[in-house]
Amino acid sequence: MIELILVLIGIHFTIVFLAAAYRIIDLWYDFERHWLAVVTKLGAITCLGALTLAILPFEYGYYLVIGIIGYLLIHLGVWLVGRLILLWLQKRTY
Amino acid sequence: MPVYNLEHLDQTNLERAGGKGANLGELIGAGFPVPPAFVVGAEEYAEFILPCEIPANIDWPSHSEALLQAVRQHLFEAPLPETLVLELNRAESELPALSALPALSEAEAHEKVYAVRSSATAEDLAGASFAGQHDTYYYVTREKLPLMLRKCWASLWSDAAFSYREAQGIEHRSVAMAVVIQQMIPSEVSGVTFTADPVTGDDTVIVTEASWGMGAAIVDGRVSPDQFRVNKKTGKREAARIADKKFMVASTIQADEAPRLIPVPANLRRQASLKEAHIRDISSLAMRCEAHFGSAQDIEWAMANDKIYLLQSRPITVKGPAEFETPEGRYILFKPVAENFTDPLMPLTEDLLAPMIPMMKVINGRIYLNFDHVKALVPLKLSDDDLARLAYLSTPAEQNPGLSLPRFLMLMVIIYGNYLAMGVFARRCADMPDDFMASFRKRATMIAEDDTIDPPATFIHLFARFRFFEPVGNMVMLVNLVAPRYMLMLRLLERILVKWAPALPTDTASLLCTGTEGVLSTQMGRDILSLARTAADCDAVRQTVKNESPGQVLALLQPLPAAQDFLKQFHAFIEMHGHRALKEFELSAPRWEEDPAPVIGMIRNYLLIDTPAQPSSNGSVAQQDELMRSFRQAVAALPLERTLGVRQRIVTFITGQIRYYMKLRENSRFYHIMGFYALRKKLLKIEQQLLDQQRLKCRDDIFYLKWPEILDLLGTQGAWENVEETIRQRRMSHIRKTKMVPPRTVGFELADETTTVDGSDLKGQPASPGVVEGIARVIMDPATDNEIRPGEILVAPYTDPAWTPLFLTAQGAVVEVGSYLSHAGTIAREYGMPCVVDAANCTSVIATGDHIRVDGSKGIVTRLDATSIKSAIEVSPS
Repeated sequence: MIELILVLIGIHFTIVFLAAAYRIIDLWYDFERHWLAVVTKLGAITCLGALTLAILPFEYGYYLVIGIIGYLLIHLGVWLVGRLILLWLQKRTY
Repeated sequence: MPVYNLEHLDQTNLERAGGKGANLGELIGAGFPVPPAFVVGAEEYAEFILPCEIPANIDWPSHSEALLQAVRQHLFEAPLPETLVLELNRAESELPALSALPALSEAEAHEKVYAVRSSATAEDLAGASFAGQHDTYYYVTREKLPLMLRKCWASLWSDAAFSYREAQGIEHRSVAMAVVIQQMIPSEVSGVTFTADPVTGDDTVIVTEASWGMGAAIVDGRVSPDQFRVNKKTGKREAARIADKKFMVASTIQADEAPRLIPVPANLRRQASLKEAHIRDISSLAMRCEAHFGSAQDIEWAMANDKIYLLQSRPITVKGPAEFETPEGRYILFKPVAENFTDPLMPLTEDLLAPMIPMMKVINGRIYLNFDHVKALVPLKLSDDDLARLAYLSTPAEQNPGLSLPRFLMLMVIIYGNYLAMGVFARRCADMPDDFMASFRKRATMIAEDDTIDPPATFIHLFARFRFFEPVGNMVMLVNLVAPRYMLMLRLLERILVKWAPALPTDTASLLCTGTEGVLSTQMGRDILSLARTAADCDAVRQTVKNESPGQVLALLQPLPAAQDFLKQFHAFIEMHGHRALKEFELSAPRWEEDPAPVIGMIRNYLLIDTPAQPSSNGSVAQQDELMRSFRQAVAALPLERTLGVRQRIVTFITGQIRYYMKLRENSRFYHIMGFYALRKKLLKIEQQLLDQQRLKCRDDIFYLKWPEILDLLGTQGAWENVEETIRQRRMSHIRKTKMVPPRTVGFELADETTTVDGSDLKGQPASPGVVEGIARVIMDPATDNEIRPGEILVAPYTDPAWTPLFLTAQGAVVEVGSYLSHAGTIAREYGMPCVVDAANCTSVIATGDHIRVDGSKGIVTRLDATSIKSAIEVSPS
């Protein structure tokens, strides 16, 4: 059970981290104004993640990393599926 | 004798004079004011076509083309019988001149001109006339009568008419055509009058539709006519809807083959085409027709020099429910989508949009949700009736339904799957600055100008981009999908407030969430108010806007130095909001950038009232402060509150989130419309191309075609024929669908839901809290009727952002179609005014001038005068 929870935490952490990283792209149009907030948030999340991994015993940290890597693969998969949906939509229209 | 004077004919002469001719003869004989006419008998046609030796069976389509060519050639080239020509001339010369009519032109002052009208003989050809025959040729001079006669005969052999007979199994040799030649009325106003509502069959009203010029434009559906409804019993006018009449068939053109559309002068576009006396006269004439024929009638008439002439009278066919397609499966009107599409979609909009909306289906131009899919997903144990009400966003009867465990588990899996798929995107949308979607404007412009992207692909490029490094601000459709989470948060806030501070008013949650800054739709309303203030400060601008037609104002102001500030501000407004329009999700709706007259009209509305309007958001801020103070007092004694203020922080956080996502929803919609405008621009380019090539005759016709048909038209080979008739049929169908109230469900029945409480109240859904009393102002179209006074309560069929300025003046709103999420609800909450939505038939039941109370917290509208209002069920269409 604790392993599952750690995997889920790893997934959630990755979602939060990716969203923070995407902020660089999302706020690029006015990055001069927002860069500090973006960098601070990203840094804080990264430090929190690193600290957590450092503190956790290896057998628990392992599941956290599975969650992180697993979600990164899911995320890539979502993009690929999105592209396929796009192609399907293009065929479904004219 | 080949030619008959209609005075000598009546309804028994169908075989000789055709349906139209026999009917006109009947009318003349009964003393109705019909323009003089004669008819070339159907037997003349039958004689004339004999040499073609049309066989009993025609091999269609392989050998029909040769036959059709041969028949047409004969009809146009074979000499007409001498007796026929002599009789034509005799009958024409014997027709009396119409007296006291305005001359068409100097040259035609003494020349009679005619309408040449096809008149089929067989009853089962009523559909054939709909299928492709050119009914009437206008302004035909004496010299051209024989040619037009041939054209009427030849219309029986058009591809469309021929195909129709083949498809219907009608024997080609059994059809015959009489031709009515009738003296033209150079009408100033023309129209159609029904002695029963042609959509609902309600026979207590007389419905008249009228517009400038000749009636062809109304019959063909090319103009939106004025509509007047008269109570048969009392003779009083019950309702009038004055349309924006953009085109007319001129009454002063030279004689020619086909009617031509010209723009209506700006000062006449929004002017009522009929005076009260005219309406009375026409209604009286219609009643006489009904009495004579013994059934409800559909009457065409024309008016010149205040005299009414009857052009046609036939029994009404109530199209109604028979027109509705009923596909397999069960469907329900999905209100959050339906409220954006209050009219049926045009065929092209439907064709381009339908593939983009999963789980939904377009039925008769309206967007429906697949009910069986909903049933599979919703984990609550509800009856079909209650589930349908839930899907329609009204309250189901069963307040505490049981839970279906298997569906609940499946839903949890779907929700978690959605979290995995969309979680990153949803978090990217959180806490973004107000302008993060502004880059979409540049993207939409770029795609509009990129000719390598065709219209079907435009939606995909704009709304379905999946690129790794795409900024979230370019994905406005996905942003819109993230935003509705505020509904769940609102429910949570309501429960929290009930639990922690039960003494607070029930609408506290809604009140706390109003007054968000940065909502582009409300900003638009404020910008228009600001324009009105600038106009008011300059005498020249104020007078011009108040007194001149909205379509001419900008041209008149351009040379005036004093008007430059106003013009600069106006152009800035159009730059920001020019992609907006009435019914803006419909591709055929012209945008403010193309036609800024509606914006001038809104500014004019402000200038006409004495008291300057302002949004009441200041009041709502004070109210929110007071509510929070009350909340703090209520929870002060609870654990952890004094030291940490836990509950206050939670409520403040949730309130902030609700406001943020409500703003996100409204603002993402602002950018959707921009995308729709980009697509419209592409379609207008294609339309211009087709107009230049004369493959289309009129503007806006393109929206009645589907994309493959447009491709065929654009192609140089295999050009698609009969486009005009297809456009005409679809236009008429669209008009009928527009007049019908769409059923809430398709494929199954929903138990009738009474919309009255106790006979004097109208029940809807609460959308913005508060209670207000005032005078009702029923407005059906803000473009033509936007004069609402401060203190009045707006009553409308629906609203979209183009209605926003009216909210600045009104003190409350009642809307027929809408939900809590709708524009009406959102804007009403922002402006702090009570609003009730989904009040069925409110525009029929409430009249302008009624004193009403709107309870936006309970969703009830009460008429405060002595007479109780009719049940909404009684006035609903059957």
